[in-house]
This record gives sequence, structure tokens and C-alpha cells, in this order.
Amino acid sequence: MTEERPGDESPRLQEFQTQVEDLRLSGGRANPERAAVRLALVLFVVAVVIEIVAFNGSSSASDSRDQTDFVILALLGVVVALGAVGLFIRASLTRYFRYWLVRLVYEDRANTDRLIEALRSGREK
Amino acid sequence: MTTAAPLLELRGVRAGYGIIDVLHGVDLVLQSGEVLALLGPNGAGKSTTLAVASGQIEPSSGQLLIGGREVNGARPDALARSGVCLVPEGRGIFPNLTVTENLRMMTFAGTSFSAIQEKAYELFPRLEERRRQLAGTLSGGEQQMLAMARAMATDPALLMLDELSMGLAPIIVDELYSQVATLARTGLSILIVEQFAKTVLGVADTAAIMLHGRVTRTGRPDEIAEELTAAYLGIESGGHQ
Repeated sequence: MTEERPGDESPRLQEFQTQVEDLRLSGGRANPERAAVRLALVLFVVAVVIEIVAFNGSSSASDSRDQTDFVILALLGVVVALGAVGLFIRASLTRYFRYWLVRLVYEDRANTDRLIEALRSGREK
Repeated sequence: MTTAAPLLELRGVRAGYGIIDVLHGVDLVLQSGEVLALLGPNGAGKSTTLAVASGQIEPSSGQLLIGGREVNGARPDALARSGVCLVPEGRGIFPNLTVTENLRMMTFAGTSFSAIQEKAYELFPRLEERRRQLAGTLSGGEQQMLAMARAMATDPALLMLDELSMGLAPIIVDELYSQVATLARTGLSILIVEQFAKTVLGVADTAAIMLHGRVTRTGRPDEIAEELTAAYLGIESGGHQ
């Protein structure tokens, strides 16, 4: 069979080659949700650091204009923290729903198998 | 494929589940238009190899190449859409849907339902007689036919079959493999994973033996057939790749 390869020049294989060339790769990230959760945790730590810096800065500043700068920095910290929380919830929910879907499919299959088995044994009786 | 690159190639692939490595440096080559039989005992890593080739498991090291392009990290659905099709062990059909509904699920790739039905029933006329029957109530052989028909409906460029013969009577296995031979004659590249070799070696152009997460021997089916028993029993045959 190796001598004859009718598929070698086939349009389907050329199309396949083109589609493979166009494939987007994730760049070696096997688990994007895990990476997102880690990123969210890092961002949250960064937000906490920003808040501490802003708090210390504003409490040591006597000029209200300097304090305004630290308030802006604190707001930036809040935004980073909110972003981190959003990313964490999104990634966690994605992981959870993926597991839930797999579980649902598995249980559905098991139920169908039980039903079919019951139907078969009913027919035999 | 016009390029000289193999349709599918695994180079030094290591992969597994969590921290447990199952594949310890798999090297495998499937040329375009070829039928490759990957044989080995239970737990050798054959199904994991297919999971890697179909993008379900990303190699921890090594390369997965399709048509010469490294596709480590490609999403399994993207690979499936482009034409890499896996018929998993256990058939992977929807047992609580009818035969027709199972075929309708394959319209995801954009192929019309009528074209899918036409192709499926041409390949396996028995499915047309059973089209309103729940897939779970089909016989094992018919379920496998449905699984293959679903795979062929997407017009794959690379078809991977995992344990096609599992739990089936020899006469049904022969019937299924005669269909595989028909598909192979159209130039479709096929990678078949099996534990039991007799029938598959009659269809394959090349065969490989897999043991303990490595491909230990690749060769012509007649050569492999002679070494298979020894390999399964863990006796060194000396002909390592």
C-alpha cells in the first residue's frame, strides 16, 4: 500500500496543510485557566503592595497635593485588585464549569447505559 | 500533501497525566497516505499517544509535528476542524441520541447534514436501517460503525482509531477492517492503535510496537508480527529502533 499514495497530491491534503499552517498555538500553555489564576493572585499581591505604599505615602505627606497623588495611586491599586478578582472568578468558573460539563456527560452516559440494560433485560423476560 | 514532511510525526514526546509521565520519549512517523498500526499491551501508552496526536494532551517535552509544522499547544478542537480526527476507545458516540442525531452532531465543521448522511450510509448501509434507533441500543459493531461514520463525515485528512476491535466478534472486526482498507485505498492517512494484531497487520503499511511508553520497534507488518509475541511477553527481541 505504501507504493500507491493517491492522497499525496489531493486537494484535501493541500487544504489540510493550509489549515495546519494557520493553526493558532497557545505557545506551550497546557492549562490557561491555571495560568490565569496564578496571574490573578500575583496581581492581587501587587494591588496590596500599591495600597500599602499609597497609605504610607499619604500619611507621611503634609501637603494635600502630595496626598492627592497617593489617593490616585490608591485608586489604581483598587482597580488592579478588582481586575485580579475578576480574572480569578472567570478562571475559577471556567475550570469549575468544564469539570461540571464532563461530570454531566459522564453521568448522562451512565444513566443511558443503565436504561438500555434495563430495557434489554425487560425484553428478555 | 506535496511536502516531503510526514503527515504526523512525534519526536521524543514525553507526556502524561499530572505528574505521572506515561510517554517517555515517543518517536513515531506516519507518512501521508499510509496506514500505521501502533501495537502494544495494555498500559503501554498507545491511547496517550493518540491523545497527544489529537491535541488533548500537550507534550511536556518533545515535538508534535503535523505536515512538518510543530503544533504543540494547538487546541484539540482546532486540530479536529482542520482534519485530525480521533475515534476514541469506547467509540465516543452519544448513546442517548439516535443514529441520525449522532450524525447531525458532526455538522459542527460546516458540512451539510445531507452530505454527512449520504457519506455515512454509503460507507455503512446498515446504519440507514437503524437511523431512528438510539445509538446505545445498537450492537457493539454497529456502534463502532457509527463512530467511524461520524469521523468520516468530517472529511478527515488523518484518521486515528483507538482499539477498533475492542469487545467485538471476529467477524465484525473483519468487516470493520475491510472498511478501513477501503478508506486507506482512497489515500487517507490512518493511525490505528490495537492490542491484538492479527487483523490490523493485514491492513497496515507499517507497524510499530510500543512498550512502557516508548516505541521499541518499527517495521513492516510481517517483521513486526514475528516479534510481537516476544515483545508482549517482555522478551528482548534485539531489533530496537
